[in-house]
Amino acid sequence: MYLYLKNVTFSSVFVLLMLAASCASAGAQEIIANSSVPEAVLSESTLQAIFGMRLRQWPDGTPILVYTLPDDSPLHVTFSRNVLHIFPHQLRRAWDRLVFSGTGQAPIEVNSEEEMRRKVATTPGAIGYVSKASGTGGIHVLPVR
Amino acid sequence: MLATHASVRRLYGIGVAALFAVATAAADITLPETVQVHGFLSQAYLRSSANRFFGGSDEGSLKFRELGVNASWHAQPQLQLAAQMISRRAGATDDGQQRLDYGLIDYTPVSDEFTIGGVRLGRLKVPLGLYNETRDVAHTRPSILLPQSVYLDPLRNVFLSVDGGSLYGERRTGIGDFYLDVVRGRGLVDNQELEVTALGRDWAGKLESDPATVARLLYESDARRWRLAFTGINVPIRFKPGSGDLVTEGKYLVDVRTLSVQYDAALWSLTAERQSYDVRLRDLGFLLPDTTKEPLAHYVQGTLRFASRWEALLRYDVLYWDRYDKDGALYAAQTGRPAHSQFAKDWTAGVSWSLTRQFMLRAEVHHVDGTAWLPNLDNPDRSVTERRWNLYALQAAYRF
Repeated sequence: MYLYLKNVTFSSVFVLLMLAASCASAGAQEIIANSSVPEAVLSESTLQAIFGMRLRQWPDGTPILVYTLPDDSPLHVTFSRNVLHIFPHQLRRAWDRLVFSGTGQAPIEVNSEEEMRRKVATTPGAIGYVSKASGTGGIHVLPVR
Repeated sequence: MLATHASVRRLYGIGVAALFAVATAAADITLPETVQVHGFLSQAYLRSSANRFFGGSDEGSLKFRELGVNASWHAQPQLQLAAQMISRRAGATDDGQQRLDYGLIDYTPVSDEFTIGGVRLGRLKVPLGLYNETRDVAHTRPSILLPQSVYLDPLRNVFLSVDGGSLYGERRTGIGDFYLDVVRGRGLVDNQELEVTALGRDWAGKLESDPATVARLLYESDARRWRLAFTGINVPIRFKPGSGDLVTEGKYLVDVRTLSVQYDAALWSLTAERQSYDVRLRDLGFLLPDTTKEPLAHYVQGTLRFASRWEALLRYDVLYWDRYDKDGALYAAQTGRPAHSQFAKDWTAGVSWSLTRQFMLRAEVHHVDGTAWLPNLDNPDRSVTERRWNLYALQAAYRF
């Protein structure tokens, strides 16, 4: 009886931990843009083109400035997989190809979500991603279609 | 064509190294967000059981080094300028002399959610297959050496960069994205290794490129799992004889058609490319009679990202200089040179370790049957080359 209870307790704790872990890794991700960027619903394909550094201007002609976290940061990995549906190594490969053939630039890398919020809020035309956008002035959240 | 004096070459190397040092410092200085500076440096150690690849690899060679720095400026929303300097040392085939790898103006008048279209002018990289545009940048290659069948080193100058212009377009559709590049320009073909490969020896005269045409259509599936590309290239090269050359002003014509396929999963990728060549000599006189050869190249490559920062690679790569003489027997009978110089079958196994995002170490071993892609300048006497040989390589690569 004691062993049975122990097993049930262990399993329940395990399940709860797994749920918590999956919530943390899936985590809310929000795409944020500088308030100068017109609100729009972006399609996944457009987002891929923006973060793939191929689409370089907003519809009104202003340049798009893309900010990302380091390749191995958990938020970058989940953003890449869950929102863009591209593997991080594919993104890096695409950026490197542009950078070293002269046909494009890499996104601007920031080191923390703090820095991401600050840069996107203060740079016209900027776009980036955070776990939760709440409370940041100067930006708005762009939903994905 | 004379190679430049050793001390002058060293000066060029130092010049690029200095530029590199300034650039790395500049990268730390806050540049405007529209300007970017990037660069790379790699050093390899090569050791072969026989034959020479990039220097005296049969006794260990350090003569494989790549150094480059580039800058790009997104000057206007529709206008970008970019340039890259490279210094590459590769045994006897590349002496480290600095050169402009690309330098271009890129204007993109069409740019919306579904379509991108533009034009580039200047010195442009040639879009061939999956790896050619950045072939000298270690971090963009899957291994220390690119599969030699498709990215043949003795012919690299035919496909390196062209001076001219290109039109490009992208179209996003419900089934995936399509990319088209059409390039027209003159290649940088005045190169000693290319001349020996094309015309049998280093003549007094030189090779010049007439306008070449490159077209590549690339497709990426919806989730970027699949990439397919078809590339077609025509490079007409003219030989201008020098004094004493018993050769007339004739042509060396290279055409390739390349089919590329790549599949990406989270932890592994599979890549295959197949390239058929048409290589023709025309009107060069009695010493170099008109010939047409149809080389054939293909490889299959698997990579496995088995731990974070680690990757393993396995590849089988095959080159035939003449698809109608795969064992080289005809060639040997006609020329008396080794039959094994007409084919090469290469099993490669390698591993990569990215210590940091900037710094990578690589090791690989090639088990090769055939000597088809041995650089000519490293192996002037083919009679001492051996058919079966192994090449071991180590490389450290840094990028920023």
